[in-house]
Amino acid sequence: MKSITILICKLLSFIGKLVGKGSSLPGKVALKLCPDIISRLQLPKDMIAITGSNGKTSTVEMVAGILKAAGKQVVYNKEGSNQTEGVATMLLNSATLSGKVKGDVVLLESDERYARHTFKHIKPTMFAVTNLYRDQLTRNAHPFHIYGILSDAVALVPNAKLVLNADDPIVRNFGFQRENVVYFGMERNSLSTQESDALYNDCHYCPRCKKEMQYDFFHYAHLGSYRCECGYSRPEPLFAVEEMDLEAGYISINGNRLSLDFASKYNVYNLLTAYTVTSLLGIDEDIITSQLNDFVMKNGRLVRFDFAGNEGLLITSKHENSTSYNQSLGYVAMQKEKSTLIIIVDAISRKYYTSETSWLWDISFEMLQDTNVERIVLSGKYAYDLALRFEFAGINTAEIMVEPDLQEMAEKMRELPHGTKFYCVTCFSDKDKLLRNCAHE
Amino acid sequence: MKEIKILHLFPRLLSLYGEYGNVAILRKTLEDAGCAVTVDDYENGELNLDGYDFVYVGAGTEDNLLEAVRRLMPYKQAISQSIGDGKLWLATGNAMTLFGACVKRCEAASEALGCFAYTTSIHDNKRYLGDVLTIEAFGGAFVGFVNTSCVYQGITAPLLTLRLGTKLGNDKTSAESGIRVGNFYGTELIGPVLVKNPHFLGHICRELTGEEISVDKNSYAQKAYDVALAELTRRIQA
Repeated sequence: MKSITILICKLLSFIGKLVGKGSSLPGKVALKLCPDIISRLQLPKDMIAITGSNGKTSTVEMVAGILKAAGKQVVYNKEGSNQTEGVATMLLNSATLSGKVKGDVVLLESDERYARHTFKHIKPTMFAVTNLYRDQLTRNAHPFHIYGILSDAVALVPNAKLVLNADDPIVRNFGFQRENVVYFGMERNSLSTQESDALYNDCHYCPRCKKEMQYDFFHYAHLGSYRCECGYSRPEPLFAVEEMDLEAGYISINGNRLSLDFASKYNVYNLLTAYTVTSLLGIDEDIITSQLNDFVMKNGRLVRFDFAGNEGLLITSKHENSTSYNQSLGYVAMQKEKSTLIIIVDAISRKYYTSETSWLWDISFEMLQDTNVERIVLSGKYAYDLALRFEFAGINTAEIMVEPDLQEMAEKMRELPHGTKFYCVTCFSDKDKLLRNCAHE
Repeated sequence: MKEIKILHLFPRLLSLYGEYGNVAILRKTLEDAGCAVTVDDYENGELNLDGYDFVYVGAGTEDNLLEAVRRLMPYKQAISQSIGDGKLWLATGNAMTLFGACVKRCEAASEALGCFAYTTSIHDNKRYLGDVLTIEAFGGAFVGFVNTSCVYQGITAPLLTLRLGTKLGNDKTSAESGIRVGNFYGTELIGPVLVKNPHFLGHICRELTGEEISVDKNSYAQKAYDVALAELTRRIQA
């Protein structure tokens, strides 16, 4: 049955590729035919799972690149299909008919909600958690709800090495009083602040005892150096970003300097996670640093486009995720040249229908005050919700234009003078609408 | 100039889904109407409700809800008295939990403020969520979203009736949603409910001031509401 199931999965994947279908169905069929098919496979010694609200796709891409450069054969979900069925497809397609997975390392991008299901089938030897933020509230409720769900997954892999973000008090809790935990983190730097850049702090109170948490500094959101009188505090990280200069475009991790292709704090954590995971796998430091130096993300998060002869940069952010938006807005806010910023909210999700816009009130649009952004253009179906939010953002240093219709907005943008620099912040669900209707890549 | 004093309970402890927007838009609307508005926050320590015209409390994590109950328990009589005296209260999201008789979670039951007789069950492994649209109340249909682990039993005076998401009511089997007793308004809708529902904002402002205050039909708030109403109505008709 094992060989037949593997064969059927490979055949369905082949047909799927021909007709352009997704990567979950073959695994779904395989799990129906043989529910324990994954546990029947002969898997490599190293199996890495990476999860978290933000950055897991980028981090997996970085880790895969490093491992390949080190000569390892890596089995990973390139398509980002990170639920159990997608993982089954990936493993079966990489297996011989006798069930031996052909690879040195299995690398999983693991969905926060589905890890507890996936880990019933496959037990990672290393489990990295990048962060837990408010993300897709219409599905995920709040970060502590996801913490509870992920705790079930962590409990399923008691022998796995946990690789945790020391700066995130929610994530750090997975390692509380557990052995075989490695922490990574970012030390205080010139961009550290005494107050969070976010409008809320999900860890204002200690996750364990509910007393007020003390922060020595913040990096962003609830990430930083924290301690509570109950003893809960940021652990000393084994892997740390010791220096960060976004203007000069470099960081240093454990004494190794890396230059940045995309100078954002958000991306620095992805680099740090990849550095930590691959170091723990014993990869040579030179290979790690050479791969991460000027790492260019290929997952479509950054797209350069031409808009009637003017250049633009589209920074894909996640709707329903204020931290993702804050990071994108923060990048635009720190630019030295005058710019026009387009923000599009048209379809809130590409996966499900909702009209829920509360998340706009969690985004720190206030950071656009007193910056070089001289024009803010709000567009898409929910442009009026954005405009209403901006009425409370106190921005009087930029002209604000509201145009719900994307094509009308594009026409107006084409009339702007030559030399206008554009930034666009929107989600995967809406980015093609800009690229297809308004501009050329 | 009319003076309005607002108390925001737990803006940090119970702070999900941008609910601070409720206080922000109420303050702005009242100030635009010529009122002098003061907003105070309460997180911990002594609670004195005297002199407040409006008390707001929003949604929180399940752990934080129970912590909020613990912090308010010494003041349960004062809170019941304030509600009984007809002071205006608004609870959004799962904050209704605070005001019932008890909260059940993981087989354990604990006392809540006891302002009303209903009970709350917190189902940690279950989320009840979805877009909702209601039958008209206070001058318009409510648009919004429910996202909760709470199930309420014993509410006899619901605030709203759901037209979309008809299984997202108080007991999660019917369409009756929220509670209204006198000037206490509790809704399970999350987020900046007053931002999203300008007719309800107008109603609260009128209750507070006794004057005819309404949101401009050409405002972004009204236009955003019209978009959401059209979208959710289309969902019902689809």
